[in-house]
Amino acid sequence: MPSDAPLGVLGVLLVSAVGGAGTMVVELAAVRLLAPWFGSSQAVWTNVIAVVLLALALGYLIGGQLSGRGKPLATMGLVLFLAGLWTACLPWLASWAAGLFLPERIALQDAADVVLWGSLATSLLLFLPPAAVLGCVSPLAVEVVQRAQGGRAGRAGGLVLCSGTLGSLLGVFGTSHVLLANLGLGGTFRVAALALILAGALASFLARSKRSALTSALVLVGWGASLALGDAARPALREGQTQLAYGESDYQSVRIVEELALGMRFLQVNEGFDSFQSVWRSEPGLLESGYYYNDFSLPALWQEKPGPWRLMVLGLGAGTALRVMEGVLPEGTWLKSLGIELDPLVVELAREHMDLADDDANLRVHGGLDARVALSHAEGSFDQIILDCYANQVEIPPHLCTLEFFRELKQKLAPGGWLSVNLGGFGFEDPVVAAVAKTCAQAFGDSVLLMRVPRSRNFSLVARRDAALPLDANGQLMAGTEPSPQLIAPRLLPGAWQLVAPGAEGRLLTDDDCPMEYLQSQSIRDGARLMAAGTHG
Amino acid sequence: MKGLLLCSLLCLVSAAPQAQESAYAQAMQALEAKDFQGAWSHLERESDDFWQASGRALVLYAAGDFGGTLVRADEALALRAGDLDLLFRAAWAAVSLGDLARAEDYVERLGEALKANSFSAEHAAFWASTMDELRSRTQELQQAAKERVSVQGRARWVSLLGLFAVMALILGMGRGSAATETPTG
Repeated sequence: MPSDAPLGVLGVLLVSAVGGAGTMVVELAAVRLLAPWFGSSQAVWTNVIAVVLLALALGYLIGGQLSGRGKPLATMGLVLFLAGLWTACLPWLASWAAGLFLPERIALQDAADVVLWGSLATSLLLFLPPAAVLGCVSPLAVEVVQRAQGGRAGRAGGLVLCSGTLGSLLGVFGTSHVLLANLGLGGTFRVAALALILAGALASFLARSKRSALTSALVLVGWGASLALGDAARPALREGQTQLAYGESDYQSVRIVEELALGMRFLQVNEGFDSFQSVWRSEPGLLESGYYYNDFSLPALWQEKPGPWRLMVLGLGAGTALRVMEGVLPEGTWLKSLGIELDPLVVELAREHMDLADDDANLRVHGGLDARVALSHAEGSFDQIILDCYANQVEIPPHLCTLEFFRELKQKLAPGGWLSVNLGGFGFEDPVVAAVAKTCAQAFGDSVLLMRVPRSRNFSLVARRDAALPLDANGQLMAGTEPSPQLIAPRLLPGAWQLVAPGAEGRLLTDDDCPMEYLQSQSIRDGARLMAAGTHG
Repeated sequence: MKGLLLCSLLCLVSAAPQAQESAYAQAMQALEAKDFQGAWSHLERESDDFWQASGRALVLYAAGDFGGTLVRADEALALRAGDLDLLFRAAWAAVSLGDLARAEDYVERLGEALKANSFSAEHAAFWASTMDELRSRTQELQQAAKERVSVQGRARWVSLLGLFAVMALILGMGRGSAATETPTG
């Protein structure tokens, strides 16, 4: 047995497990690290996973070759040191690397290729080196175990794969449920780096490497120095904006940005592109033309129902819909609202900075609940349900736009109740807009109303349960009570709205077949052309 | 934006007298009252093709449909290529849409049309500042497009080179490993 024979196979397996955990931390947190610049769409996930797999393949080969040379356990220590140091620097390197592949300003309709290639190139620069180095750990560990125990190589391989995979499992749960939520991105990478470095130190110690103590100490100093590099950088704010709050949740990076010149605050998540999730103005009521939230108030103005207006908002965000409606409801009508928001951090920041009220008899907010789950458990029926659920800035979650989901929504509406949906899209022919409208119409068994929001890339979809849509005898949109006429006025032009029948063109989206990612990618690719065509052309 | 509002007013004032008492003039009055539907109805009675298309472009612009504005503006500009008001609206609509090629085209045509006209001092100053603003916005679009193309190209090259390099390394090392039997110490 060579001089680096392990004191215990258990120690080597522990080191291998830490290597596995480190790989998963890097992989999972990698997407979060890229999200502020490129989002966390399927394309980004695919690129990150592909790069990590490629790196592991390379690492396995390199590790296999290194295992035959001299002291595999000492080599294990070195590769873990390298991986640890690189991992510690990742939060700091991310802004530099992403900056190379993301233009300073980019409109959504131009973003598709940038996201695809930019996230791939950034992943290669950032994650290929540490993942490749971590890939070396397993073959080296197999060699060490095999030498220590003798016997079959398959047995040694099985032990190492088992420990590495258990470590990966720990890395997956630890990253998602513990590290990111409690330590943020920078802290997560630093903890992972420290674990890798300590595992490297253990490997060096087990290998009885002559300079193991000195090397370990130097690497730990390097890790300590990485703390001085500060937290993961974020995309820059635009001129005139200040950041009021920032946080990392289980789902995304969230920040509240104030633009004093406009007198507005914006809730932004994964803020790489020119989009926002919620807006706030000091006074409740309608926002400027171009904000789709205004359209959510139309059903209450069309129907004029005295008493409580029972409202459920799926995708509450910071509560902009509530704030707009509170300011315009007819006299004698008040909101009795249930708000559902997936991300509890959004609710927390909204209460702190965007005047989202605390729960009382007329408002209940559930943070941390998926809209579909919340819908199925919601008690009673509603006069209006607002659906404004988006992920990764612009993506409608596939399970929230299917035939089955819209049927569930319909069942939760009181007879005559209204469904209001915000749809991002570039024209009536936009594949996402057309598919969701058709699917909703099929679920409601009747035509739905689709209106373009002026000065924006949004559409408002309105459906009603067992009641007529707000059209007058001439087939024109009804104005409703004040201030709805100003919202309706631009929609009285020919081509500003459409009725979409259940049998309309467009893809029917079901729980079984809902290629939303594909449709959204098509939508963004066709965006510029559809926008230039206009609605009245 | 202030310039845009001022120009809107100036343009309406300057355009209306050219077609007083016409359906177009009535449409512009309705538009001032934000009665988009009324304005559109008046324009349906407008017998002059240019004023009809031009009026529709203005209505759509005010209603926030910039794509529709461009469609109608092009119709009208085909009949009267140098109309300042239309070119101005079309240029802003194209800028708002981020449509660089069309924004450049309209701004250039607006510049040419302005050269062919003479103005009072007040109007000349207004158009000069408007052109400055439009040129600056168009330049921003140009720079953004240039940066986007360059960054996309860089990302594509780095990605492809990186992937090929790693694959080549894997193939090379894999072949070497398969061919040699490494001693196990």
